[in-house]
Amino acid sequence: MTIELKGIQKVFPGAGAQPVLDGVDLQIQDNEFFTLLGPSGCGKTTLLRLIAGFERPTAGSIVLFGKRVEGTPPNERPVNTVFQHYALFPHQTVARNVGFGLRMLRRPAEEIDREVGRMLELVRLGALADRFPHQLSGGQQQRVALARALVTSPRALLLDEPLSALDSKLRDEMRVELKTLQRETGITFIFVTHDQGEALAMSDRIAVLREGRIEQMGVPDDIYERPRTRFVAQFVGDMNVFEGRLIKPPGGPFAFRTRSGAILPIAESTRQDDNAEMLAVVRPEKIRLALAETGDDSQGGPRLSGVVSNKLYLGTDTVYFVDLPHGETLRARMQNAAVSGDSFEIGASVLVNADKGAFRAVDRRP
Amino acid sequence: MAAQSTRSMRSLVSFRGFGAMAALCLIILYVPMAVLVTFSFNANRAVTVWGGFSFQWYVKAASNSGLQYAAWNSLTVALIATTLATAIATSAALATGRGQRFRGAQAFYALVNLPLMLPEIIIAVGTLSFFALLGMTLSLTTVIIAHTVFCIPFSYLPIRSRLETMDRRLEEAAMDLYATQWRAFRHVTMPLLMPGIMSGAMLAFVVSLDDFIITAMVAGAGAGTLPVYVYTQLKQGVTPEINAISTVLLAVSILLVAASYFVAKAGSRYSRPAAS
Amino acid sequence: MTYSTSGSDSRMLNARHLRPGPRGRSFPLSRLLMLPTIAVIGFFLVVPLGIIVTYSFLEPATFGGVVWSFSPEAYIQFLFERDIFDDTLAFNTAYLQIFLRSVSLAVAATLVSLMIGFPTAYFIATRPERQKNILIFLITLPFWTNLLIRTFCVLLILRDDGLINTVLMGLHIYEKPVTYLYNNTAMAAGLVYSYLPFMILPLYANLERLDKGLIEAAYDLYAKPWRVFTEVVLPHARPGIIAGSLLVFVPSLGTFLVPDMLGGGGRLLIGNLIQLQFGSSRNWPFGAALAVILLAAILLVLMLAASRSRSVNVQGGH
Repeated sequence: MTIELKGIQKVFPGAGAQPVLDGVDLQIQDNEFFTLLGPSGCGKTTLLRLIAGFERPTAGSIVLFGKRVEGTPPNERPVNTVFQHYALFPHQTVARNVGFGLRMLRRPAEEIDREVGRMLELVRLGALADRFPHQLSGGQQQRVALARALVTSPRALLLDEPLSALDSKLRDEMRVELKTLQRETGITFIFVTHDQGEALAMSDRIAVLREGRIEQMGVPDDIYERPRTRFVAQFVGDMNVFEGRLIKPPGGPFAFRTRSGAILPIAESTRQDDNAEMLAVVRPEKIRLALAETGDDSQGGPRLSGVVSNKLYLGTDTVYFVDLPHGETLRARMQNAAVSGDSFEIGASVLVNADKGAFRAVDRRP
Repeated sequence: MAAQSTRSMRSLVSFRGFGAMAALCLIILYVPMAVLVTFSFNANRAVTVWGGFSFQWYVKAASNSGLQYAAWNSLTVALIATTLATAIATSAALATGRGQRFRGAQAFYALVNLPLMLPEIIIAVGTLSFFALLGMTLSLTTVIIAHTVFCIPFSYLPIRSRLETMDRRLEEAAMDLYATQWRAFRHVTMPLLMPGIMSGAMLAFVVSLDDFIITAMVAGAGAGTLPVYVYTQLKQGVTPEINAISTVLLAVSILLVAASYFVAKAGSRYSRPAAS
Repeated sequence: MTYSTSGSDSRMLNARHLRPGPRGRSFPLSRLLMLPTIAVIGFFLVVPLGIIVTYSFLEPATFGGVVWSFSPEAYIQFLFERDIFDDTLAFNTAYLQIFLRSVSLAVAATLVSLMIGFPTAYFIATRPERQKNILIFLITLPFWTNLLIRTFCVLLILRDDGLINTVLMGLHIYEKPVTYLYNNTAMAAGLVYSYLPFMILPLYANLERLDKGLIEAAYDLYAKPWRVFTEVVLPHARPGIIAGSLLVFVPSLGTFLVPDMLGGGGRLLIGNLIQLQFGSSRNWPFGAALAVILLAAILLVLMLAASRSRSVNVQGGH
């Protein structure tokens, strides 16, 4: 086991005494790309800073590579950080920045030169070794920060929203680059982000944090397809949510009665007890619409009908707002696969279809 | 059409007559100095009657032994007081300028700035009484002590503002990259703080060089600085030589302050968090 | 000059200064860095202030200095004259007049500085970035130059053979030099000239933060320029006006050079009255008492200003 956190609690003095982290347990494996995902203020950055050694936990234990480290200062921990705004030393050149860690470790000069050169080649910055940070573009600064943190061969790399300061094109490129880098170096990456798309795209595993606790932990597919709480369902991706009660006919499959009376089939539920107050959730892209007159491509899915009340054209897709007869509104996201046609006008009556597993019931607790 | 619209846009935010007032303000501030400087190059012995261009008063001043002596005192006092005050101010800034919040921080801040808030005459008579009570003979030493005290806030403010704008993650980054606390301070904090320290030292130097009242009160015999010398001469009558000396003093202050400004500015280019 | 720190900063720092170690929370070493300042300013400035207060209750020694026996005489002397023969006290307004003259001159200088300084600060604050920097640098520069020499410059202008007389007589506005020096107006002019930058700098700092969009919004909502000024600009500028006024008022009240050089012998202000007691008059206790009275007056004004700006803060909800 590479990194293990147990019962981590962190309370900052004065700040209302509200714990920023409260009972976090976490195990991160060797060579894993592990992501801490959550909205701002959820404690993800604090958690990273605890691992780096910038903060001490109020309670709980941190084990890095078999050694307890709660009291170890950051300079004695074999992990390095890539800071959100990079924290490049403004008075040092790119090469001096990258060589900083090796100098602090008092490595011989020629080894430092060799390693810095090798690392700058790896991040394709060899030509810029003598520049100062303020002479570089955002993407270049980002790569210097990576090189600086990687050159000392840390056993884990901690990345605090490293892509948040980049524009969206560059961000997409860096995602791929980071993922490649992680695979090639074989170093454990612990990645902090509030961007669920980033988390899904890059991670081996994701922990979703909320108000200082881990809400759900799992592989990206698990988090996206099988959210266990309303928070995870709505924070990761877009989700239709209906309030209501679970119906469990003896022997039969689960169903769900929404508050206004619509009946939905449920493929999977986090609770099993009949008549439990729960939420039914379904991703908009799992829903298919068909015009009511023509309509039956059902494969035994739910049969609902409604009226298109609004639509947003997004290029690759169109999102339709379908008013259901009982008063709820459902969003359906349809791919614009055909060059033209195939779209529904506002006011059109439509049938709502979905695959069998599309609807799930999750805990109601906020 | 376009020109007119930009003009009316500008007048929207500004108010009528404010620009004229600003011009008046600059005239008030600079015309008296310009007069002084102009007449320091006056060949005429009468102070305010122009008699042609001449360097003679500068030459005369330069060979004045009483003036040389006072200048030497000024330099000694300013150098020692600046060094001491800047060292003290740097440590004070490190204790408070990094966002530390603790009980008494406000009181400490008030203490550092106390010399700025009191009228000089009160500091002057207080310091004089203090030395008298201790039985200290007034000398260059008493001048240096007094100057050190009132120079502290002047060097403290730029150092502190420098520290406050410094990205604190830089120190964390250094620690993360295996630097001990001391080495992080030595390799990261100190180099980045240096422009602030230089700027503060220059301001302290200027303030020490310029002070008159406190110096006049606590200077012993033969410990008079340049302003004290100028004052004594002025009391005996205004001479063109005084104009020349005053012009040199003005020029030194202005050059030092300008230098301090540019040092701080050039340094800020480095400390700015790298643009993204 | 404001001193505030955001919560997250202090969190970060608390942790770093409480150096991670098995001892847990320890006293941050950086706190010790305050000691030199406390020692130097405490010993060489705060203690002297205490001495001044003490001296004001002692008896004067013949050749300067004090005799260590308690006496309220210095304060009595401020308001009364003691008859040398029969020791009776007669109310004497001479010193009170000097004090009141100091206060009214300081007030006048503050008001004039505000009238010149406010438009100037506002004008600079609304310039493009480059001009702004140059202009504010020009305003700051005189602040750093020698006060003695600057007062001397005023002298050069106002003298009988000074710039104003030379120019006006050259234009034949009048033929005989007019005496501008050695009166209250000359002193007020000297004070304004000395401390004008002190008014502009805090005002500028304040007005620079004024969102110019607010002014446009006010115009958009049918306000006339005067209303824009009173409804939007002035309320925003209040803390700056208070700060700038204090920075002009306090040193003006204690000024020594202005009455000494521009006021002539007969025109004393409290600043050179104090100096006189420690100098040629050799009455240290009286000088100390005057210094205490000056200090008390300043403290009173500061407290008034503090309570004013606090009420502003409550209104503004900061």
